[in-house]
Amino acid sequence: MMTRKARRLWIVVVCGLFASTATALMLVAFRSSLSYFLSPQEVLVKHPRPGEVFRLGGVVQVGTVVMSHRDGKPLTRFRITDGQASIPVVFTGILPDLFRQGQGVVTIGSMTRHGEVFRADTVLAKHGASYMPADVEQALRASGKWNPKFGPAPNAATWDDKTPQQIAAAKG
Amino acid sequence: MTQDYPNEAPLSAMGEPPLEVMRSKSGAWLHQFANPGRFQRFVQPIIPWLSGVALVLTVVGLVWGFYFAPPDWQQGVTARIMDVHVPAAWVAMNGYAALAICSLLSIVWRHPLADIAAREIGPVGAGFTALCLITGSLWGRPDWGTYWVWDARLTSVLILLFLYLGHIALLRAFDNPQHGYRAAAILGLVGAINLPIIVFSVYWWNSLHQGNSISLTGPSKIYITMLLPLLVCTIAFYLAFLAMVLARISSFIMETKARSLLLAAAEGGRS
Amino acid sequence: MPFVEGAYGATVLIIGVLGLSAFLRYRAARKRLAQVEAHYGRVRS
Repeated sequence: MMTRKARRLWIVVVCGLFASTATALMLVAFRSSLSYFLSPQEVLVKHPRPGEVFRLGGVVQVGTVVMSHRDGKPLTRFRITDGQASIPVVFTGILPDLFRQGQGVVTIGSMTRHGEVFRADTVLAKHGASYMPADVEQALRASGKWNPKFGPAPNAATWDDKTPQQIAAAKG
Repeated sequence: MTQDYPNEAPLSAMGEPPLEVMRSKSGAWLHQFANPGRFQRFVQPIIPWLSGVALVLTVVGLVWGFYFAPPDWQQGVTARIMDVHVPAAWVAMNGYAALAICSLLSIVWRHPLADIAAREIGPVGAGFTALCLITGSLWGRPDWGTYWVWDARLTSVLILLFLYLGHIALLRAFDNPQHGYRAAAILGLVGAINLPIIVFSVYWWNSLHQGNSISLTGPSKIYITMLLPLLVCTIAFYLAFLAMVLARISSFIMETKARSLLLAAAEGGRS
Repeated sequence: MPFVEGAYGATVLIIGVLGLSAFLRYRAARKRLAQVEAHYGRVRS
């Protein structure tokens, strides 16, 4: 014979198991709509129809950014890559401050009529999880350990508690 | 009312105490206050000190973060918003975890203090969740280029706010406070499923929100002079949350006691 | 737009309101209970 307390505890445990299983199943089922953006690889697989609005996210491929003007508005062409595939993007308008080569970005728009170029209406900058003052970034650059153009910051353990002088001195 | 052991009875006394319980001269209803009474004796001397330390640390942390934290090489001064946004998010989530534990204690063990604690955690936790959303929005505009996106992290934190608000409303929605406590405890416990979703949302799905900068296992991805004000603010926010919740629980117990005394006196005068 | 000022302002406002309301309620509850107990006798608890 269980005490009332033990019975209540079991009811909570069993209900908790059911509820979390149900939630997990739901999250798996709605997986694709829970993702905020598609990567270039996913775009190649899913092949969204021209004109269908979706979000394309990835890294601004280094060396692909071309800036110009059309009708007095800034026009930017670049490619978004996820390391596996890359898609050309064209955007008219003012880019966010954090937009740069090698930086994460999410764009909203659709494929053009013939399906090869992504015309973005909005460009959102995604930023990484690392935070460093400008002098530390300069020191890392000076020591030759990192150029922000070519990818994410090096392992945080190598810089997160060192002075810029120590970082610059440790040439490597 | 189930009666597993005598300590269970205080439940009814903490809402509107039934008159027959209060009128008994045997002191039965006093016994029912046993746990809240012990809580008061333990907590009331602590509250002024806790509040004082929380206030000082909050001021130090906010001034440090606002004036002295070095600007980020990419984001500039907007990175300083981190020092209030991240601690608010942690307090909001752990506050909800505390609320869920109280709900469990209430449902299974019928602990009288757990209902009061859940009642008083709700509004404070909702405040910190709102703070997290507001500061996040003000950070997103300059950095991402938008105040709000419906990505998994942002949406799940918005759901957290609605869980808090729902809990606050449900707990107070019944004429019999016991029914409110019971219903709110179920909501509080079910809502806990949202917590792991918030934490892992940035890894399970593509999101605009970045991953975590601080983990228990690896090095922090935040430079030390930017990390220190963040840590001070974190400790300060946790202490502030604790001080506010304890003071509110203590207030509620005193309010209930005063009301019961008045009711008992009125009843005694009439008979 | 002063985003940083806005964020810190919101922080001071929200934590301030939460803290102040908790403090005032606590003080009022203590005062009220002391009054009631002075009138109707202290209760051991």
